[in-house]
Amino acid sequence: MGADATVTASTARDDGVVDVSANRAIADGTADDARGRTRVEIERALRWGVDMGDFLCGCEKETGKGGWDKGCWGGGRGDGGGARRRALREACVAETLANAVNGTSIERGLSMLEILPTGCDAIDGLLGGGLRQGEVIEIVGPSASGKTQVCLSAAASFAALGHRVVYVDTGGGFSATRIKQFHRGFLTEDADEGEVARNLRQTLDLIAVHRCHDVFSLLHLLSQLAEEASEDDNNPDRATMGLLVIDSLSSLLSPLLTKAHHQGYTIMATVAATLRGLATTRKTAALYTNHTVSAGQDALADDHGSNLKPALGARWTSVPHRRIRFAKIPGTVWFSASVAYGVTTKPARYRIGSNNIHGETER
Amino acid sequence: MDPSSHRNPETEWFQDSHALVSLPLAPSVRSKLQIAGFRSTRDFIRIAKNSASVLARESGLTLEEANDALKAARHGGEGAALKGARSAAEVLEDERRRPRTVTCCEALDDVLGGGIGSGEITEFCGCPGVGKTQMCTQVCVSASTPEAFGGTDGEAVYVDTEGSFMAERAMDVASALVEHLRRMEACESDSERRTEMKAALEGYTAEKILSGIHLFRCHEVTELLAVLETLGEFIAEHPRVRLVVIDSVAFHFRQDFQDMALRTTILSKMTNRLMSIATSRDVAVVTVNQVTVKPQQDGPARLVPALGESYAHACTTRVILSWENDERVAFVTKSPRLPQAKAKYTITAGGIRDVRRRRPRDE
Repeated sequence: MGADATVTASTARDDGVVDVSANRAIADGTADDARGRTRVEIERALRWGVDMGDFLCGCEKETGKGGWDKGCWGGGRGDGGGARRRALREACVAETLANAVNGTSIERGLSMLEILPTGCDAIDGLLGGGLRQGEVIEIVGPSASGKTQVCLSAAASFAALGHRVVYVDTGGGFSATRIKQFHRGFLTEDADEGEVARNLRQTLDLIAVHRCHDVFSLLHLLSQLAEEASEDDNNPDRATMGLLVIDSLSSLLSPLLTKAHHQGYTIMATVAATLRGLATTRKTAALYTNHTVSAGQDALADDHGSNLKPALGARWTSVPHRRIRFAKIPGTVWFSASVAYGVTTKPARYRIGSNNIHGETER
Repeated sequence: MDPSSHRNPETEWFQDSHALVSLPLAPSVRSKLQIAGFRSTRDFIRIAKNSASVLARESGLTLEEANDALKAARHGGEGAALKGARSAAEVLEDERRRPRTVTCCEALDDVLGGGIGSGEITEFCGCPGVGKTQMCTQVCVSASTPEAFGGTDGEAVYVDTEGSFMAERAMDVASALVEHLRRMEACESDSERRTEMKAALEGYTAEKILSGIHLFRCHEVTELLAVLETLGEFIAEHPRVRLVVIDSVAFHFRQDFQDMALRTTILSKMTNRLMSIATSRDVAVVTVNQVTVKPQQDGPARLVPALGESYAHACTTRVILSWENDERVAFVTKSPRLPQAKAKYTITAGGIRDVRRRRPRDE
């Protein structure tokens, strides 16, 4: 029955398209343009105050804002207008139906996702094995707490396992020398040098580094990465994008988040939606860093005696699936990592070595 | 038909629903476009036919606004952001080849991985009198070291906010460098290299070094921001510039501001600007920061770098200069590629130098 409905709807749409914007669609010659046109008109209709429910149910009642009919339909409310409206409605329904997914396919999709290691045993333990594809993970911590190091280690680890990595660098923190060191650390001491060099070459080639210094170029990049997905799907030769790293996201967003910049929160919400959408559609693990700012004199100090809060604060909390917090343990070479948001596990300790980041789970 | 018209509906929805919001447009322009039903750059191209007059007619924008909107939409074009990527292998090659600006103190150059790197921000902070301005003068002069001596053979930009740049001092340092390079040339045993060095020293005088240091004096924060805004163009006109020094960032920001939130915003915007100059022009950026006293909840107050926690994330590498047992010590506290390490240095009549080991008879 569902199939029947779809067929009818799409047939109706095809007819409707010609009817809706006959002149333009024919002039353009492509159905794609007509579809774009249809969508713009639906959008415009909704902006004029037509109730979505009424629109979909096809109630022919007066909207009270004649502008919609007059503005969009060209003529009066003749038969032509009714037919157009019906066609639009059906086009709208068809688009919506096409996007519906059922539970079984969601489950199947989930079971195909992999959990991949970050290359740091303590952090992997904290995250229950590593970074899951399709998940957005945030690292928050003060400066020099190892955020960039974990990002670099995760990039090296994913690439060494044959996944493509997109690394967005906003602060010049990307170091290929460091990737090389981490890569050497993944292999055993007695590995064949020639083999190591070959493997390193492959690893380095799989990491694409983008330098972004403002939020609009980031959004531009993210939307193009999403677009690229469809082309990749048909190309089995190319490794899929396994990991997206943004180091640091907060340094791009924080200049916008003031009272003076009234678009700031809109743009922040756009970044959030784009990031989550990208992680879901591309089945990519997204790892980004968030810096800390002083919480003010009155705020309560945490376990390590510092009163810091994340730069992307309360409004951002719901964006990552998991947020992990890093801190330096004063007077030692150790750092602590704990889950601040998401499935909680026991905190871990780690230290940064010359070619690895290693942990010591029990104290 | 172009291949881009066959798209995955899922990603197309995702793309279309965000693109308009992600363009750098004025809120009034954006809302007019939204009311007119435009949601994505694709709508611009399909419906408005890439023509500003059509877009203006459809959306009620002025022709000028429509032009700007189209320009923003076309910025970069399809897939351009993805092409901006560089593989980690290329980055590694760059990191290997990149000449570094030496500080003339070998111990310090070693802990900095061979000197001050281009494409990143290196911050020096410390108390008054510890040698921050001396360090800046030294690196500006040594940026001119000819390639035959392993230098960058470039010019430098000195942005002076405190009025501390002394031309006489720079002259001393420059003369000492010229002297030093002459001695190096005289000691070189390889005849081929010696000829090369000799040729490089031809006409290499202290006056020439000084004429390659471009000084900007900024009396207030607005002037500083204006200089940074135009610095990219200045470097484009003077392509030999390899180093930008800002001495100091803290000075104006520590006195001209009542509103701390505004200060943070301006600082982070400035950092992004500096970072983009560093990477796009491949120059080394050196910033100077002051220190401030931070009261601790338990124990005595500590000296910490000024401008707060959020600014700590701004630099790529942070070097703290301090006194230790009557000796000057530089401590690398933050770097994505280097371990934390200390180096002793001293200031002589000729600039920054290594601490000479005392001969036994002196003790």
